Amino acid sequence: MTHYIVKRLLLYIPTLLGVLAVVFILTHVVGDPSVLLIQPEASREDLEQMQHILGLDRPIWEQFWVFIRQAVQGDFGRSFWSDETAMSIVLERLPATAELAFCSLLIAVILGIPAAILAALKRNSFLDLGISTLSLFGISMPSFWLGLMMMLVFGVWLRWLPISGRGGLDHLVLPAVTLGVSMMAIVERLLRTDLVDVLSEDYVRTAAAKGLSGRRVVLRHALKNALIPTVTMIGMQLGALLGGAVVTETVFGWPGLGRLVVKSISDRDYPVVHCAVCVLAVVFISINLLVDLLYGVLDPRIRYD
Amino acid sequence: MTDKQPRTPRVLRSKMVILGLVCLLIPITFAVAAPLIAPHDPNAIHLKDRLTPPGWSRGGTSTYLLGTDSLGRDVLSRIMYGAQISLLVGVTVVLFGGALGTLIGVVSGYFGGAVDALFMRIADVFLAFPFLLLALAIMAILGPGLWKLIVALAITSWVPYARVARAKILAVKQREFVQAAHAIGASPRHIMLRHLLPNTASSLMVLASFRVAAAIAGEATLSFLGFGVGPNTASWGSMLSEGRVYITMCWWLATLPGLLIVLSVLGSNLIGDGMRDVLDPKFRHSREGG
Repeated sequence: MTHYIVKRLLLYIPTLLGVLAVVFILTHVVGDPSVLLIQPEASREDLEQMQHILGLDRPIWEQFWVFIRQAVQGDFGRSFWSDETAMSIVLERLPATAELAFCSLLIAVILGIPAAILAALKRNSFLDLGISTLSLFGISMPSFWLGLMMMLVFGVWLRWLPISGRGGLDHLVLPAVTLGVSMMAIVERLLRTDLVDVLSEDYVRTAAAKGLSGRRVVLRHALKNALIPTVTMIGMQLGALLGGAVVTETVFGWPGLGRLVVKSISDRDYPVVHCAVCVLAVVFISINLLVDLLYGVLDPRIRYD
Repeated sequence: MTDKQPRTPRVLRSKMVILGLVCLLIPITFAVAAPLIAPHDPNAIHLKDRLTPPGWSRGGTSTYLLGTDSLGRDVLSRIMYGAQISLLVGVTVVLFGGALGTLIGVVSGYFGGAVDALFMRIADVFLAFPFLLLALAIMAILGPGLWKLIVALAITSWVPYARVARAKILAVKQREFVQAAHAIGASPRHIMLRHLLPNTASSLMVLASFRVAAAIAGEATLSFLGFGVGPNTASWGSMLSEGRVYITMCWWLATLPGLLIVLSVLGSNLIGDGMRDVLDPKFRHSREGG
């Protein structure tokens, strides 16, 4: 187990360097920050001066080395528009996104898992059909449209909930549901399929035959085994959740990391974009590492070697 | 074969595939026939008719059946032309991303070793970014435009194909017919194209139909955020982004283009579900790396 953790952590390093390389290639090789920063009517000398200030006149490998060296220390430079460091701006926004993502995940799990159990137990009933249809809509609705529709119904027509900004719990409801719906649908679809499979396994039939209560059979024997792929999927979908946060935060004016990314891209505030993208990627690969390690707890049959 | 009767392809016997095709009927009709059936020029500005509600509600007229936007452009015509963008992006992104991913997956799976390790590390890096974030970053640098958008979405969507193709290749590589091809001296290229690739086809087709849905949603999302096809092209996503601004007074701007997105994405997902049931019942992690 320790060996496996060490191995995974070592694999984490090239992935992280790869992430930094992709960000660097995108901004320094494909695009030139000095051109983006300077007024279009600026003279050639102004442009060269700007390139010199940003260190862009040095060889590309040297720039890459400087970028990596500073990035691993969390130093992405200062925002072009304010005097704060990019890292402090990003860290300031992180709690809002974490709050939103956590609540969405909670909604997805609390509603998705029982829905899947119900659908699997009453397979091919109207209840199953209804839940499956809802799930299919759940994965097919783009989150920003769902968000707009909920804003329209609950914010504009019924006036129950605020449609923008961050504040009390009432501000959290619409964005969290918007972000959680697709994940909930994915959880439900996957878990239902796996539960249906597991419920026909011998050991589940044995458990039922020896007189255990239905609830005990489902929760102890079937669910525990069927949940494993779902947990993997939740880990992988957290990335989509962070990506979805970009959209949801924009729709609802939620002051998180996603909205910061969109805004700093529009403002061409590259240090902040670099920093935010890297922080999101680090959070994401760390979660996947945790999920991998969590398997062992859920399924002792998995050996790490 | 003595059986001369025309047979319905297996996938067309799935109810879900049929239902999916029905959902796609409206978007496809709009996309193909937009120049013929659109009542107005999608970009024609009628300032004195701006923000007219749909024909059936109070204040609406039959001239603009689904109302007009803030510049007085006809919403119905823009929705029809928007279908062209959505479907074009959906199909081309899947073709390009699918071709790239399949190539990488087949090569990785066949050669194994260092080649495989390299490609799979690259795949890890791509998976380390939320899909949308990477596409967004690419669009921010390339600037708006239809082909740039297709490139950005294709580059960010090859990983699932590569993983599925690789897994399939690993499973069939040791089978007798591949060994036999080796034994008679077939070239790696021949083995990959003739013996391995066909075995990945059904899984990849299932994946591709789900990915059409993802590409359509991706285009809409990027256009919604203002990093899409550009301001003068009618796209469902950019129409919705304007709808957001007018949400408190003009419900139709935010509602109607979204219904078409849902219909298209739902249709593609239904086809994916149906094809999976018929072609590849074990295939589940369809949205892997979404």
